Amino acid sequence: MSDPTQGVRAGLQGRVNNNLDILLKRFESIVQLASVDGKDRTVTAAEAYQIECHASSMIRAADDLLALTRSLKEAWMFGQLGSELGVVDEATDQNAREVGEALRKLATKGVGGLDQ
Amino acid sequence: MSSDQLLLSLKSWPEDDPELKSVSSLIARIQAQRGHFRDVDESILESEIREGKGTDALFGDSPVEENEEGARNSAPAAGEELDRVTQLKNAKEEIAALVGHARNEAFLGLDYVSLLVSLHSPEAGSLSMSPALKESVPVGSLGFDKVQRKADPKSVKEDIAISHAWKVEGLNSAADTLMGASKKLGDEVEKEARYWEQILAIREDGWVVTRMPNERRTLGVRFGFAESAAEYKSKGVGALRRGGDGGVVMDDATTTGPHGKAMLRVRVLENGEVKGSSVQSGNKRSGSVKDMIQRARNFIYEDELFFEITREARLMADLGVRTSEDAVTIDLGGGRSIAIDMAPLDDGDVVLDIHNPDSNLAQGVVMAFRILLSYNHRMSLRKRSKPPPPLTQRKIVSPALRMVAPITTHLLHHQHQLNLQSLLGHLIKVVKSAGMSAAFVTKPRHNCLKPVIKNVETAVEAFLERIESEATVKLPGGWKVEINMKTTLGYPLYGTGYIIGTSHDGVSARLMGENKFTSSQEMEMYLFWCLERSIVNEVRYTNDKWEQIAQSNEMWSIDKSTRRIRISVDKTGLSIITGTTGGKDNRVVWDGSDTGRTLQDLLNQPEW
Repeated sequence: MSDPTQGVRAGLQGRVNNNLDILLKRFESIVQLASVDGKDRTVTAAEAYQIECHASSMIRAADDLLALTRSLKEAWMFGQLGSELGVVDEATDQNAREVGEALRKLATKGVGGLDQ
Repeated sequence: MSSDQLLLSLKSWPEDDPELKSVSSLIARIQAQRGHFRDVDESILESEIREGKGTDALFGDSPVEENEEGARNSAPAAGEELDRVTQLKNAKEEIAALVGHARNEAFLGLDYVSLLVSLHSPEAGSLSMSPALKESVPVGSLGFDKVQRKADPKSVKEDIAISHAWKVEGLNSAADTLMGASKKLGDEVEKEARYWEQILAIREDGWVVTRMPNERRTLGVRFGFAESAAEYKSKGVGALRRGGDGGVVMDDATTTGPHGKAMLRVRVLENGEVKGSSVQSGNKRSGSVKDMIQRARNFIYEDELFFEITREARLMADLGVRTSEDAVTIDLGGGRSIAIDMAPLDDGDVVLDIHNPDSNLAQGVVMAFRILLSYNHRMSLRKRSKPPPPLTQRKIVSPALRMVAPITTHLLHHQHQLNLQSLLGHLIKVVKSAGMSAAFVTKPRHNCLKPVIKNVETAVEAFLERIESEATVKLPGGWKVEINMKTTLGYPLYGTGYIIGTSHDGVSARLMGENKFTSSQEMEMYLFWCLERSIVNEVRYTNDKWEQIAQSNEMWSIDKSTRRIRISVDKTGLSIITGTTGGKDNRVVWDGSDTGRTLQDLLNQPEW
């Protein structure tokens, strides 16, 4: 109940189900319309047109499913991904220490000696 | 009833009995009068009108009334006008009634057809049925059937053939579109898969994938730096578009900038001639997306770096830093300068010439700039993490970063320190060649030793700000000179300053303690002076036949006061001028090369 993703999940699930329903039902309708069964030419013409309508409806549903997968991928990617900015690698400081010490050694290397 | 009274009446317009004019009553009356509509059509009515028969029957008795009225009232103009108004009103009502009637008829027709349709497809039919009809009759209760004609076997056969053909055609076209769509979708899925695979690879590489700020549908990769200046913050996102084959494509302009100048270049110039240059390596040719992102990241970093360098350099004109439209030049003195600009990436096979010290210097300066920008980013993060300053009306302009100043400080200090070192080396050599002992030791940048390096910040901070070097020189005659040189580009030095402390027995010279100099020439002169006096002291110690004349750099012989020597030191070396009063002066010079003769030899010479 308190899960805020509940609504989103239900929405996505609904979209999947809806599209699946469309695919199945439209296919069923096409099959139903396939028989000639003594209908005269006017009825047949109308039915042939309906078949094409069903087909484009199926395509639309499939397109929508593809769009859904993309938005799922995006949601997954942005949902999981906390901002990684500002995370400082521990090793950087370690490197800086070593480089800094080495540089210091090099920069402060004295020349000459008083015992010469 | 006069018309004036009527016009002045405050009563509302007398309304007709709605019942009388309503379509339902009209239809009922017409049917009562004329029977079913089926028998009435235009031609019959027209012929009836022509014959003058039953005019009153169809349209009420208005024409008759009008006639009667006209006859009864051959009245004034006002009365006629009133009639016109009534006429118009009547006509309007007539039209409304007729339209309403037609509408009603149309609805009845629709209801009828809907009821018929609802037999075969109840949901389609019931959509257009009126609520009244739905209440009174159940859906699909009206049946129909085709009148069975005496089917012509030929036409039946034809019908079936046509039906078959149409169905097949319909199914085929549906199958084709579905196949086409499936192929398209399949391709699309493949492209998507490739695209996402690459996106995922980019993400696993550690890049932050986001949506583009102004195109919600496009994915982008954030390669900019969180702590960049405001000018560069929004530039740090590149669109990852899907190419024709599904691969990720990036804009090339973001990776090299509009002019293709992608990287900071530092060159060491001497009298206008390039002596050394940094290398701009950057995997220029690779077309892989990861390399492109990396290039874009590098470019935005370098671009910001150069921007900040110019911003700071403009404020440093008093310190020998010159800026032009696309370059910054730091003057190091002695004809040497360092030029900083943006340059295109090198081809892959260019490598740094490690045997050229100037190229090494240039590369080191570039590196230092990059480290300093990163350090400044860290500082900005730290600053942002603190509570913000109070709100003011004034716009807060962020101060220029400190990058050119520390680097220039180091360059100048290094230069001066090298000069000092070579000067001391030369002097020691000169002294030794004259047969005396001297030594020096330097402690360059000794103040950088103090801070404890714990992390990036402290590692960088150790080398920022003022730099101090020390040198201790042991001169002949027990003299000891301590040189402390400091370089800072701020108050109070604006360059390099020297503090020289001398300690000696105070016999040959009174000047002791600390002396401050702000130029290397002054420092040099003072060191020469010290050496002269220390040699005087040395002679005094080691040779009791000579005596200093009034704390000057001249000495005379105790045995013979006309014999004199003058000890002077300059850039070339130590020169002793010997002579006797009234005689000719003689000059002996030790410039560091082995002459095989020492000062003592010279002093012990019985005559010259």
